[in-house]
Amino acid sequence: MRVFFIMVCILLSSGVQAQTFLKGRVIDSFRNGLSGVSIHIEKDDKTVKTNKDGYFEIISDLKNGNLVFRHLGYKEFIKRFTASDVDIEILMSLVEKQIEAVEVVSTGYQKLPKERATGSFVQIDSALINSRVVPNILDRLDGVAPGLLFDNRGSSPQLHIRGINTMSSAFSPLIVLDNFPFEGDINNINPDDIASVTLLRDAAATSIWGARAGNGVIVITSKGGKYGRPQLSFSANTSLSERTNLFRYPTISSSDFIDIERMLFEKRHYDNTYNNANSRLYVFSPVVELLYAMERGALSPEIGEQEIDRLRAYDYRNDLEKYVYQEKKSQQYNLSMTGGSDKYRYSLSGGLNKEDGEIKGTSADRYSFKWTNNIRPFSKLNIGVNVLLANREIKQVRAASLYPLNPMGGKSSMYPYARLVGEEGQSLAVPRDYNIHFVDSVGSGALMDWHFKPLDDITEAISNTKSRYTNLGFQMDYDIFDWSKLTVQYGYEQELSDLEDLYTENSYFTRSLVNRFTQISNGAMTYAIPKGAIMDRNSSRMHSHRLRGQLAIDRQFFENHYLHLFAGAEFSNKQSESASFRSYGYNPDILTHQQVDYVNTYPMFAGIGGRARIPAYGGFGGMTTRFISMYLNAGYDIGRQFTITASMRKDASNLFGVRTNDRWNPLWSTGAMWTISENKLFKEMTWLDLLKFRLTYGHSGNIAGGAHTETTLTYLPNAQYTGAPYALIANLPNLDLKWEDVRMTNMSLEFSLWNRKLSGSLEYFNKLSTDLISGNPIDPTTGFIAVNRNVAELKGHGIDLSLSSQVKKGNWSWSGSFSLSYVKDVVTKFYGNIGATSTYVTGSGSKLTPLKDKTFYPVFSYRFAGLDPTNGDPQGYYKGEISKNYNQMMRDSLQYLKYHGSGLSPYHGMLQNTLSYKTLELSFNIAFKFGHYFQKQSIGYSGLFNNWATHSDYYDRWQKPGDEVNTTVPSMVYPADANRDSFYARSEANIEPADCIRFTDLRLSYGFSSGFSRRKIHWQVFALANNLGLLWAKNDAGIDPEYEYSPPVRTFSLGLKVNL
Amino acid sequence: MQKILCYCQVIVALMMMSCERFLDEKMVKSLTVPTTTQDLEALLKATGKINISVMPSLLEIGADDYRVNESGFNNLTEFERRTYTWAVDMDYQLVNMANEWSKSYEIVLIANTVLEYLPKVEGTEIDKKRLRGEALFIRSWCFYNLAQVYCSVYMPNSDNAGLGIPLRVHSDLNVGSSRATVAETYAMIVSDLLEATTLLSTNRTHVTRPDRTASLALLARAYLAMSDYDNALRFSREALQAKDDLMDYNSIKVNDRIPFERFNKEVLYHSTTAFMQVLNPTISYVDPELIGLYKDGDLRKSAFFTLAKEGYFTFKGSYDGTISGSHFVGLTTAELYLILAETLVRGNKVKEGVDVLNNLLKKRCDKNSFIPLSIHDKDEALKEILDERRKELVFRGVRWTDIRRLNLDGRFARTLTRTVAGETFILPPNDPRFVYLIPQDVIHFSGMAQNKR
Repeated sequence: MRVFFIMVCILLSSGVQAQTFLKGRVIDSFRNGLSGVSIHIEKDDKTVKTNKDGYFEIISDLKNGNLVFRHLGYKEFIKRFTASDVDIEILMSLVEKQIEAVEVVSTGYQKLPKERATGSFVQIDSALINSRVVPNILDRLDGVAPGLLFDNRGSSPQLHIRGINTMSSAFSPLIVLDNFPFEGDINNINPDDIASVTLLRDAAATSIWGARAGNGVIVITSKGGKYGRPQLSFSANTSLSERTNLFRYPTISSSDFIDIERMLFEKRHYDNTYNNANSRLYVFSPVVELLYAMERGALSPEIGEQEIDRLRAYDYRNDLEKYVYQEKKSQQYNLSMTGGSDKYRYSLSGGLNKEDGEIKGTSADRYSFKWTNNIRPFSKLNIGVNVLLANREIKQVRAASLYPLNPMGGKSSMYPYARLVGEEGQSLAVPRDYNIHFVDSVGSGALMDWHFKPLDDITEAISNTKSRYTNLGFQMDYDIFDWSKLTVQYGYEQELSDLEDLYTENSYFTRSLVNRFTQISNGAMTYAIPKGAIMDRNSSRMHSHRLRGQLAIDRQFFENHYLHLFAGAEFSNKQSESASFRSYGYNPDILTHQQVDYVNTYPMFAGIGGRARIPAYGGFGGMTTRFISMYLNAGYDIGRQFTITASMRKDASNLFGVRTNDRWNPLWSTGAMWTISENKLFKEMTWLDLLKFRLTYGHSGNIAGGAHTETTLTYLPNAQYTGAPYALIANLPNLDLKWEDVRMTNMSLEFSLWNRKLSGSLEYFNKLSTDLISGNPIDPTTGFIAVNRNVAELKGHGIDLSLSSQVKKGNWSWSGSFSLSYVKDVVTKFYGNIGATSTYVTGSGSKLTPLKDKTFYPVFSYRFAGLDPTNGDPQGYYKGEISKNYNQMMRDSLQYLKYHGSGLSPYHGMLQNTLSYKTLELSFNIAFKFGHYFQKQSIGYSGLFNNWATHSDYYDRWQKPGDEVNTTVPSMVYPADANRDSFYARSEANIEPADCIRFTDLRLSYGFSSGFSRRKIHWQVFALANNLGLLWAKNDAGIDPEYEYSPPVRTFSLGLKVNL
Repeated sequence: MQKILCYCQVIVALMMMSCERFLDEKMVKSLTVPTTTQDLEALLKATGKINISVMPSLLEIGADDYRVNESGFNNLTEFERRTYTWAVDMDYQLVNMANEWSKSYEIVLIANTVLEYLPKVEGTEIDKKRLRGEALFIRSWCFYNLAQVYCSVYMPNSDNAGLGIPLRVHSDLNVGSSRATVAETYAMIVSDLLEATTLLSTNRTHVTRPDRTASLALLARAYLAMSDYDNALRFSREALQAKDDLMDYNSIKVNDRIPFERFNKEVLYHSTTAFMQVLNPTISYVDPELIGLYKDGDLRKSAFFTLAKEGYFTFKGSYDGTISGSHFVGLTTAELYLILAETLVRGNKVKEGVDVLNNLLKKRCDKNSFIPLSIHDKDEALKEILDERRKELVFRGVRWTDIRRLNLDGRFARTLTRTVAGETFILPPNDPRFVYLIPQDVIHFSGMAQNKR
């Protein structure tokens, strides 16, 4: 500052010149300096830009005139100046409500003014992030981040940026928090602490992240301190979700299920197991028991029939919905304070997230705290210290009492008419593991009760996870010269997690295990496993250190040439350890446990199994991941019109058993940009705010490893029978394995018209991934079923289009944005082996499967020739003829399968609209996915007969000649033919288009101010509805293609935000 | 400037060196490259890979000791239905390929890895000898069992030039697999086992690991399968000299639901087949003809079987100590008695052979009513011993081999029949279906020749 004042004095004293020397600073409403603001003197045709702190200097030949301040996303500001103006401060305000308000994109290595970035960046600001209230930051991006595809078909969403580029295990984008890759659990991040999220989409953007960035990068930037007086803000919201609807699962009704059981009984289906010497190991339904009892004469037909008819009315889902499931409730509170001066800036925030889960007794709580400090002891030095802490506690239910109940004992799902609650509200037992007769009579009272009562068990088997997350950051910037800066960054992450599964003495798990190991000899009981709770404890610890040194140069050459260059090196070391153990006879009240004999074998009670050891649980794990990287990034601006960039990076990691030379992998990228609107020819066109063309090309890769020089073994504890430590062959030498390489070309046209009334960008990319690694099936005679090989080459191209528009009229304003992404990935070369045909139709489209000329998630099916009009058998084609030879058709070559397309949507996008009147704002989001297919579930009679697996397609089955015109569901035949079932299940009759449009959010908010004296308090209240369901789905079956049976429930939230 | 450059070079060189050290840390702690005999021994301790539920269930599925009724048949998978009815075409699903083929070759890979690394690793010569012997044994064990399923029967006095199994002796994945001849297959099994007997001692830690006695016992079993009765006699006798323990069934609670313990004192090597529903006593019942062979006072009838309902016995006598569709097919002393008895009789030492048989029967029959057999006619003695073989070795993975071997001798040849829902299926002696088809995916990936139909 002092230097600055001296300079001002010198300049003032030499103010006799004809020129006018103007200097000052441009700030935003938070008094942050705005960098890259263009300042133009009218009639003088001079233009300068503000530096990174918002300061500028300009010399004019005029004594007075107009200074025009322009900055993308901000309102143009015109300032009349005279020669006497010395220190001008300009406050630029944002153009009303828009996505790209923040003009700085963060790559994790640098904050780059967007106008200088050649790569493909998408920025999502905190307003959009905070328009939702789910506690996971990534979930808040689903359907709102342009170009980010959420594949929600699995249990947790898989994120894709521009499709799939590499195939080795981690094909998710790299997630970066502030400066370093985020290694912890994403749930530790409180979204309220996040300022913005940036997607890095092309090679020029990602190559700075090197070997881990082949599938794109998501950079999460947290909020920092802000200059100015302390600002307090508080927010609170509460949400309520609908109760899970178990009846969405399309099943056969209890009554019809009973009729099927009676049919099977007539056909003597159960005789073999019912009359077997080992029938105690089999579970039978009450109806089958009643039928046998009636047949034996133990029960009169009238009473038996009456009893069976009574059962027809039950459905255990009613009991589960009533007693086990509940409406999910959650609350969030955040309090933060920011402020600071030139010397010191800070922000301090605390968050609380409480959630009662959809199952009674479950909860998830998070307490988070964040403190950031920026200290500038003198002008050349800036020191940043950040602390982020999060504590989480999750309670879950371990009991086997959730839908669908699984009785085991030879079955995979419960008969539908099971009763969980009796007439007096008492909890009832259902069969589990063993025959109910055996359980009723066994041990004659000497054993612990061996019945399984789902509703009682739910509080007896619980899991409790506690985790503590710490993230510390330290950064020091030193300006060696005013054009060069030395930066040292250090980051530390630690995650401690303790998971405790407690099965109380009353839990079925404990009772059953104790009983199995109980022996009665001469009336005396011996318990190999003591009574008391069983506790499993898992602890894990992850800590990671990262250190980076970087030298940056920003230098001007000639009149308007700028060089921006930074180079650095980085070390990272992540260590994870885990340990787990089990305690038997545990008493949680007085913290005692009992020793058991893990060495000797014990007979099973009543011979229900062979002799066995007491099950041991536990083990240790340890993993170290180290990286060393070096990088160089350069940009060169020629005036405001042209920029070229280049980036290089080399990574090495401690991949085990790999030759030293294979550890290092160099990656590079380059890009160029032409801001056409800065050209003199276009300057005159006042309606054109911006027109820009960008072109980039580069390589990124993915760390795959596996190019082992030696056979590697993995050690494991506790071999079966002997308990000894043992080893398995983990990898065989695989010297030919090469790194996966991704080449991407990106072209982009960005425009803004009529003062941003219409703006947008169109990007086209073209990519080539070579040496893709995949587990490829090989001749099992080798001792391995599959081995990792460089098997494929992938070519892809696509577009990302985004448009946004805003119109304001009086107090009314409307803004809308639309984005559409299209990716087409095709495997162009495939050197691997083609596996058994059945592997391509099983779960078709949900598995990453490389095949020539196909997409990565190919959807295949057996060709279907309708039902046989005489008996309703499904028919396909074999050697060109209509056939029912299921075995041959299922083994037929891959080329005879029908290929439908991709299981992952090639087109996706969204539409966002906001309508506001003064401060009342209504917004809604619609997301869509088009062009993909899915395999729906259906009825399989062998599963129905043997495992009680039902599906409502049963009702559409062929029953009489003529039905084949209206249905594809085969007739029910006894005995069931598993091949006939699987042929139909995987035939084209069950492939449906997955195109859908989803109504994701609807939000209404109102803002107002109240105030006392000079201080104003800004209030905002909002109401929000999420997951409003499908607006349209292309399939005829009325199925949600992404979540076949359990779509996310509708959630309603109310919230309040206060700023002062 | 020169100096600065020089310093820079030194600094860079030092940095590179420390970088390499930084990167030498193992990524996963439990991973290692084999450097000592302990590492290789750890591979042989993987009971879950080497001993438990790994042998082909085809050793039993086609044999005649059991049946399933129609209700049971309707509960089976297509693979089981087809093999149960000896269908011409088989239907290997992925799980069947794993059970019947891949799991055995995973053991072969472990053996080959041990054999390849032994000369390179640290350790005493004594340990290296022992581990080499063990590796040779487990590889031969797999080759022998696969040969019973996928090769035609070994015919004495013939060139046995038919298709054998692929004899993989390298761990290298890039080496292709092709089928040897039957003669080569057995020659390798025998020569590896002979070497193993010179390397192994009779000391061992556990019966999941082979010792010299187990190698001798497997040699006896293999020579018997080759109808080489002189050698079978020699090795069964040698094995029995090392260990001849028998359990006395009079002191076993034969009426218990599970009468035998796993790793009982008769077991020489522990190994079980893959689980197969069709072989599960909850589905299958024992062939009434076999039940009829047990005489009064034979404790095995109670020890091996449960009477579920009239005429319907299910098997409970597994030496694995379980009731399961996974059966014990390891080596036992009792089998050695039967091999020795048979080969003695075949070598015209009828009395000696019957005495050996009596030594076994004494422990199997009620001590109060047991009368030792006294047979002088060679053919009669042979028939008696073969019946005893069938009665003793129920669900032990030898019946299929015995049927194939005995089919070569017109006197003992059998036509197997099975009936399902009124339809009768027949497997005449020496039918090509006595050799199973190799899983179609193995043929597809390796290009090896398929068995004839």
